This record gives sequence, C-alpha cells and structure tokens, in this order.
Amino acid sequence: MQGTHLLNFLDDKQFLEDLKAQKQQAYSRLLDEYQKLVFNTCLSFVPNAEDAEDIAQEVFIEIYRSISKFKGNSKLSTWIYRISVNKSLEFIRKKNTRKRFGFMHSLSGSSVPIDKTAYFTEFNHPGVQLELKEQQETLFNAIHQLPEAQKVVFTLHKIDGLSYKEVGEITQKSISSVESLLFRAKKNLKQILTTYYKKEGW
Amino acid sequence: MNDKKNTFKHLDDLIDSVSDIKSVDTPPFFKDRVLNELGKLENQEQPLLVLNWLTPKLQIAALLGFVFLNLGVLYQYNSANKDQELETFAQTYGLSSSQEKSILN
Repeated sequence: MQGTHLLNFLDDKQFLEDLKAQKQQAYSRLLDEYQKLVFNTCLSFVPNAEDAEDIAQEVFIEIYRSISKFKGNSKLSTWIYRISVNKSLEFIRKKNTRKRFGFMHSLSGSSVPIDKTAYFTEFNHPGVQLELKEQQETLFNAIHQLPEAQKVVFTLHKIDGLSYKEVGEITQKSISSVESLLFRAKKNLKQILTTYYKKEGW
Repeated sequence: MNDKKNTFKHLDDLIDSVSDIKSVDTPPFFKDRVLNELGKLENQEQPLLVLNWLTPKLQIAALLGFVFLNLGVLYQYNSANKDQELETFAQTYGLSSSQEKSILN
C-alpha cells in the first residue's frame, strides 16, 4: 500500500516537472484528466456552452503560462479550480462592464444598441433539462446578483458539488467562513427570488 | 400562513434544484484545439527565452546601479569644478586677486 503511494507521488512529481518543461505529452495528459472539470466549472459560473468553452481554453493557456509559479503548496486540482474560478469571474466582470458602457453610450445619445436583459450571457447550459430551463435561468440570474464571494462559494458547493473543505482550499478561506458565506448566499437568494416572483404576480 | 409556508418550500426546492444539474462532456475536438493553441504559444514565446536570465530582481539591481553610478559621477564632477567655477565667478565680477596684480591696472 505504501509502495503504491510512493509510486503515485513520484509519478505526480514527474508529471509536474514535465508540465513545467512544457512537454506536449504532459499537456495532453493534463487535458485528458482535467478538461471536463474545467469546462463544467466554467459552465457553472457562465451557463453558456460557447462562452464556457472559450474560458476553459483560456484556463489551459493560463496553466501553461504560469505552471512555473506553481510551488505545489496545494493540490494541482485546487490550483486549476482557482484559475477556472478567476477566469470565469474575469469574463463576467468584462461582460458587465461592456453592458454598463453600452448603457452610458445610449444615455449620451450614440446609436450603440444596448442589451436590456439583466443577465450577462444567453442562458444555454447543456446540463439543464429542457423542462427546467426557465426555472434554472431565473435561479442563475439570482445567483448572478449575489456578492462575488457568496456567488463563488454557492456555485462551487451547490452546483459543482464540492465539500466545504475543498471550497475553503480553493477560495483560501476557513470552513467557518465558507459556511457563513453559504448561509448568507441562500438568504439573499431567497430575498431576490421572492422579489422576482412578487413582480411576476406569483 | 399556509401560502407563505408553501412559497418558502418552493424557494428552498428551487435553490436545491441547482444541485441536479448534470455534468457534461467537453465539446468535440476541445482537446485538439487547446493543444493547437498551446503549440502556437510555444512558438511565440521561444525568442523571449534569450532574456530569461534578466529577472525583475536583476532589472531593479541594474537600474539602482545605474542611478548610483550617475549620482557618484555627478558629485565628483561638481566638486572637481568648484574651484574653477569660483575663479571664473571672481574674474567676472573683478574680485580675483590675480586681476588686481595685473600690470594693466
């Protein structure tokens, strides 16, 4: 049993060295092992297949560029999760800025067409059943309105199904902070959804 | 009262339903596309390897060295020329002792 652990450790060490040496074979293995995880994480934050694919690609490019900075203080998967979350949030921020910019332009009288929807992307999550699409779209819209820290913790725990410990490692927060953020996220979500359904005359 | 209870139950169910979203596979040829992009990146980044040794720390050290060297030379230049400048000043305003002793006066 100990021998297997040692072999795994040596294999991981060699794998990391190959990644740092930018060997194509190592990146092929990295993609085999992590492409699904990265794509699904991006999809949890940005529920649009095309956008999530672009972000996932950027994640692997970022891994390639900054693997030399990875010191091995955390698990490789944790580090990859962190990059996926950051890239997704970066994408959302850019989209929101573009929306605000479009709105300012429309106020100043220029003819830039503005997208009046509150959500930053067209909802197109391949993992959502068709009959639940409308309901999930409303929920994702509500999640989008949460403060960033709450959004990250809620998405990683509830959508990606990670444990408090894993979420804590990725976000570099203690388990009690994760619990507290999750509690506040649920409370805020209920408030947002109640307001939404009241408006809809529910 | 019952309505309120039902609404809260519905909201809880809705929030929990997010966990039912199924994990999906990556789009076809995703891996090939990424490997292709990484290959392009490798070709682009190769010329930079020539100056790889010039780390930010070395760059700052070189800059500081350059600044100190310049300050040193400037200080030395100023102190070496001080006497000469004083002499020129004195001559301009007729305060020089060598001028007083001139046979022309």
